[in-house]
Amino acid sequence: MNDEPMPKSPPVIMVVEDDKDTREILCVVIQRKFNGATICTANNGREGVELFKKQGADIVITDVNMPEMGGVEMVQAIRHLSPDVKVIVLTADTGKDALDASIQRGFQLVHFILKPVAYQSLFLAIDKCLAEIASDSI
Amino acid sequence: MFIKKNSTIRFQLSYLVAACILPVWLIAGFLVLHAYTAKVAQINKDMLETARAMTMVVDQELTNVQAALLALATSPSFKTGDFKDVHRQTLELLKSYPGADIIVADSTGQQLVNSYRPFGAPLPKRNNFNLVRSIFDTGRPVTSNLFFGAVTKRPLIGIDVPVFIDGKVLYDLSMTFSSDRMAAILPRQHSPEGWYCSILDRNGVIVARTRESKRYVGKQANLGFLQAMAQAREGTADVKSIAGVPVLAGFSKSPTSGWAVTFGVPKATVMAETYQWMAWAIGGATTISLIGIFLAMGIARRIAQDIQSLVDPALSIGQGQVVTTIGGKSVKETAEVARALVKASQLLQQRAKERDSAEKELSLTIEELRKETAQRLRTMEELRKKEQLLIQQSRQAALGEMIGNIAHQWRQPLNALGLLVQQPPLFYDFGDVDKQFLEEHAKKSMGIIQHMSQTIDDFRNFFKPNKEKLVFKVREEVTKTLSLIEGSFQGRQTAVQVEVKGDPVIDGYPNEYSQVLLNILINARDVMTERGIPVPKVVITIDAQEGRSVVTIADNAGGIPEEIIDKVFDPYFTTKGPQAGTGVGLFMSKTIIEKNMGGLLTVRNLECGAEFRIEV
Repeated sequence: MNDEPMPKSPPVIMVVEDDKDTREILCVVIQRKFNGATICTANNGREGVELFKKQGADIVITDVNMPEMGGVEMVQAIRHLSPDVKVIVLTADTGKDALDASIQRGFQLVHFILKPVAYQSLFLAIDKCLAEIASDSI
Repeated sequence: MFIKKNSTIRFQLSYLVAACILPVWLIAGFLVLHAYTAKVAQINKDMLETARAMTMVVDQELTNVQAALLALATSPSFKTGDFKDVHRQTLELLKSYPGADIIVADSTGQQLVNSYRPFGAPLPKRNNFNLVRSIFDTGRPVTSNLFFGAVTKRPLIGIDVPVFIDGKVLYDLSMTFSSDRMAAILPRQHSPEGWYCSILDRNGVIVARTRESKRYVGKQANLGFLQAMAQAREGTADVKSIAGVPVLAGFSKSPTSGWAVTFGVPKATVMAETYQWMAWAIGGATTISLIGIFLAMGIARRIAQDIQSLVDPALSIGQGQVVTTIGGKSVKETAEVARALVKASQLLQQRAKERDSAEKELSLTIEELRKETAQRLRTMEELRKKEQLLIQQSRQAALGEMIGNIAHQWRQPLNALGLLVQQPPLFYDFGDVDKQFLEEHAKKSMGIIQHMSQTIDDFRNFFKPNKEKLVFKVREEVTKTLSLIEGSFQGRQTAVQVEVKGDPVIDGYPNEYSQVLLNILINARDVMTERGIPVPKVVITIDAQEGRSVVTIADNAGGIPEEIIDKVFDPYFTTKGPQAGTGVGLFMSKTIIEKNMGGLLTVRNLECGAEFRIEV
């Protein structure tokens, strides 16, 4: 997959997921798939916001249901800081309500993927995001 | 106490009569005894008085003779020694004492004059010289005891007096006379019929006697009587007479002559009268007794008949028959009892009617009660079914809750597992698949599967009720419960804060306790979601107060409306609507804490929400 378009500078992908196993697997797989990307992780929304404030990110892949701060709230906060950030939301049925509500409130979410996550969908979403970043930067 | 408890009226009346008659018998006996003793006392008194009077008469007679002799002793012929004249004078004196003799003797006892012999005839000496000697020694007149004449063998009495000449006793002048003279004076004292009288000399020899004089004169009286006389001057005695007959005797002794007069009456004479009275008394008492017993038997028969005539009506009343009249009662009390029985019969009939009516009412009431009971049983059965349905619903709700929680707990590892499953073909394309990769991959997968299996075990253990009490730590149960539902709290962004102030333990059923915690927490979660609380929060405190564990669970959902706060623990009370709630959760929670574990489950409203307090 090395023929995929990549931004000029290596993209920073932040994975926010409270389940340790999921988080680690995603990190390993994304790292392997997108070799040049920098992967950073956070346990929950609050940590995600703090990490974003600290080092920023091009793509935020996040879960919805998390302790302390959920994915939707976190994305709202991050969008407030950086409106152009690309967001991929991973959610199960239980998190879909919150997602739908946020869409109704005008909160734009470009990508969302239902759990259990199929890599094909995830990779496609990341690719789209990278393409958007590339076109944005032209 | 002498009457048997079940003796007849006749028997008891006989006792009554006997009790009435006994005093009559006692009085009769006493009267007879009194009459006898009074009679004896009267006879003794009479005898004594008569004896006393008779003694005076005897003394008088002897004194008369003595006085006549003393008058003769003063004759001047003694001084001149003219005994011829003295002889003449004695003959002159003896005209007044026919049958008597006068003797003059000197100090040697030589007779000088004897009226029985012509003057000048030779005379012997005196027989009883002791008397002559006493005259010359004492100078006082002497009365002899009874003696028998040497020639005539007649019973005689002699009285000697001294003849003083120039102040000296020169001669003894004595008169001898027959005891007949004394016997002649006895009839002078009139004594009652049956009495007899005796005159005794100083030796106790009978001088004269009213009965059988010839037989007993000269004989000594009975020894017992003599002994009685020796002890007193006068008195009475209960002795045998000289004839051997039992007598009552009275005696009086003369102080001058020492002679005694006695009266006697045979006891048979005295007792004859007493026996007569006794016969009268016994006869009278017997007659009264017989009349009394006869009357008592008659009256008893009448009373008994009266009472026995009540038996049949009483038995009839007892058998429930109607008795209108019970007639022919001659005893007033029995008639009253008869009237009472008739009244009792009427009352019994009335009572029986009332009882029948009451029984009828009762049977109706029982029938109603039976119907009501059946109705209630049906209602209870319906309620039971409804309850079973609710419990079923509650179980289903709990099951749903559990499945929801398991689903949530599984969702993450399922996702992770899904990612892992997709890894081999992906990494194969990358050319990264080797033995090490596959081993790590399998290990990781198995770890996740193990975790999922553990989750199921946790839930199964949690919903398995404890059979026996255990000592468990409250904090551990709180943690365990929170771990089961953290997913559903997390999904709603509900913060759960646990404040540990103590580390109490409870001796009880940990799973049931956890279920209570779960119920309260789920209620809090649901109400916070329902009310759209922006920052939902639950604060759990664990504390130990005075040896009891206290756990409070407070939410910030705004609290329970005051109008229903008292009902939240009632069974089937719910605010969630039929789809969401059964109304059993809090009721069951209260039952678990208060009935099964002896604790207290309460609720109150705080500033921003409700606080449940579990005290065990």
